[in-house]
Amino acid sequence: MRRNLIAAAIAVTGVLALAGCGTGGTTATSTSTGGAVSTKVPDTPMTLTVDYASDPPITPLVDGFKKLHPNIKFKLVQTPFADYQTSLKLSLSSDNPPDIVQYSPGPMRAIVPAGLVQPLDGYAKAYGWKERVSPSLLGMLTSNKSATEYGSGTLYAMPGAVQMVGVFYNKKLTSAAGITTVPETVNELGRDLAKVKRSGVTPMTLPALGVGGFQLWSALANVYGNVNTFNKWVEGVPGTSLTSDSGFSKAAKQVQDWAKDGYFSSDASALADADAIAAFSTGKAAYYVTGNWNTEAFSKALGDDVGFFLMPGTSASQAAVATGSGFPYSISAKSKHKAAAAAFLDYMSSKASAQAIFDSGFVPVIPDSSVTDEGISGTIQNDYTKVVKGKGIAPFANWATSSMIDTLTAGVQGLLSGSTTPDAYVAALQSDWEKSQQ
Amino acid sequence: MRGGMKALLYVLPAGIVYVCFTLWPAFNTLYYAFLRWDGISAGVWTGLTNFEGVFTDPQLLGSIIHSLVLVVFFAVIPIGVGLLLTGLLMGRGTRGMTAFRVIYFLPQVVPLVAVGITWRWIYADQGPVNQFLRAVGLGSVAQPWLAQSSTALVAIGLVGTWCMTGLCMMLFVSGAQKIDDSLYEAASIDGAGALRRFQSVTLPGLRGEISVAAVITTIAALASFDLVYVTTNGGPNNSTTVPGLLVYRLAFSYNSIGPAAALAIILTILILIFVTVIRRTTQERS
Repeated sequence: MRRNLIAAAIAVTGVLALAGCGTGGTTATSTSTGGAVSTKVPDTPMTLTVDYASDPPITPLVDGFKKLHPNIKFKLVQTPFADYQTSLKLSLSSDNPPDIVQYSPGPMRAIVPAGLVQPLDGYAKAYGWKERVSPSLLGMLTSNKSATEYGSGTLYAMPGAVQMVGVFYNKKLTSAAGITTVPETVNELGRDLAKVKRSGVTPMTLPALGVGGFQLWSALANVYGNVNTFNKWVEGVPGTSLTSDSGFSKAAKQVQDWAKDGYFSSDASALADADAIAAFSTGKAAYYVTGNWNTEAFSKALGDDVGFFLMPGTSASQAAVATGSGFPYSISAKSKHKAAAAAFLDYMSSKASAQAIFDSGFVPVIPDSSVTDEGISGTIQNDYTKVVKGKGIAPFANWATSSMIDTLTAGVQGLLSGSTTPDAYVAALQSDWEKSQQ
Repeated sequence: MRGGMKALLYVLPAGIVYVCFTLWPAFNTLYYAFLRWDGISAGVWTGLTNFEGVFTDPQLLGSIIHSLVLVVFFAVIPIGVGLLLTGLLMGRGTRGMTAFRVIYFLPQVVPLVAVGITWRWIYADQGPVNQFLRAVGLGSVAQPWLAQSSTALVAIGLVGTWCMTGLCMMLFVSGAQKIDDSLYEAASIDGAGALRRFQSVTLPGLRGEISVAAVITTIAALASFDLVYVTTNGGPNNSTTVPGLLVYRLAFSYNSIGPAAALAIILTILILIFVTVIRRTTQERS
């Protein structure tokens, strides 16, 4: 009896041990090609699991879709952004992956080559997505099979809402400094920053510990440099170089000059994004170059005092441009409900969801002025339309390589302290880029 | 033999947990260090390339040097100050001993992430440190401590000192209380003053505690991650990167599991060397 017990105990623990000791194994899934597909939404009851980091825009989208298709339920799994980057790989390679995930370029560099993401070309053709959506939003969502080069190849995600970087400003503080009009050139913006400084307020909050530092550089790089070169560079097109165009270095010099002029607080390199949001929301800084994902928070804190304009060009006649992207979502290659998931992706980028997107503070993928063009959200939507008609949306610089976010952050910190020259800054970005091309 | 089997059975559950969650991951890490692997697709054996990278990449090497600087602030200074405080507290009948202990030990109770964020605010341009300096007329000394390469590492180090001093003091005070009072009496009769008593009775009696404190604090310095991650994230301009931070970035952001594992292995070896040296030098000569 006792001997049996012992034997059983050993057996049980042995099994546990085997189960616990999973090898750091590898996965490979066969990917079905995006061949002929139907756009019929299944009418059987089902539950779609969605993994995501950013909310909104996903919840208003899900609510709107459920109203149209009551048979489809959703299971929403939210993970904070920093952890999402790491958990996405694990959840998509698991045996029971979510059906829809928020697309994040960093981890996707490993996930797409492993064949874990559903190619969407078949659906795109059936639904007519490419005719509907601005091509500048699809660039970073389209890549070759090894996910080394973007902008051409297979479509892996669809945008659900538009995020765009521009200049937010506090009307109360700027008018107190004697500023009456929105600047039409970068030089005018510089002059306005000087006026605010004379009024005794920090002109611009710059969270160079977070993403805010290099987003200022990117915004300036889009107007100083060649947008085409920049796009190709982020997309990883072989042979592209930022050093070929002096505009990128000029943008870096502009950041450095503004730092020298004292337009940022001296502790900018130790300011996190949250610190800057707090500083701007409480009226401690007049300008903040950031994305429309903060619109809701700013409107709540400052009401009608918050304004928005696109980073002005070097001349007033320069075509509009802005850093941004769609909020993209992908379908898991192992999903059992691909047709329903594709129908959801279609809904996200259709006119039907515009109101829901708008209410959550974002710009719909297809701008709809009939929904609203009032207030700051209206301003941002109109500016987005200008950008699409102008030079288009430029991708986030940190998407260029998986380590670029740290190279950019460190580089801008070097610019602020003066230890890095503008040329050395651009050279460091280029060297990071070339390392990842090998 | 039957008894041996039975004994083994008792050890088995704990043994399996240890093998699965400590030994197995450790050996897996060693294996990964020889691969080029993105974490999902099949890895490629690359031999010692990843280890070469640790010693040739100035960033990775720099991070190891930064962590050695942190040893001074996390280990050397806290042990020195901890001993000083112990000497003062062990003087005859200090009142409010418990209060002192609670105050100095408090930093140990607060999670390091919260400590880091709080100190980021304390060191800010308009933070308490600079406000104090300006208030006492030292405005010219006021500076953004964490935002400039010249001061950031030292500023982080001092946060470590603040955290670790309490731990060291606690260890030393509890150790000193075990020292036989008659030794102090005998020393007094021989005419030893307070300083001499500390040097000849307290210090030798604390040999074991000093060794433990040195090991704990040195490991905390070399393997530091959370404090750096929330205060400067390695910045400004990579002046405060530490190996733990780079292991995290390589493995989880850059999809470079191999170099991350190699750096982790080198860090482990470095820690083992330090611990061995500390244990050897503080061992009682028998």
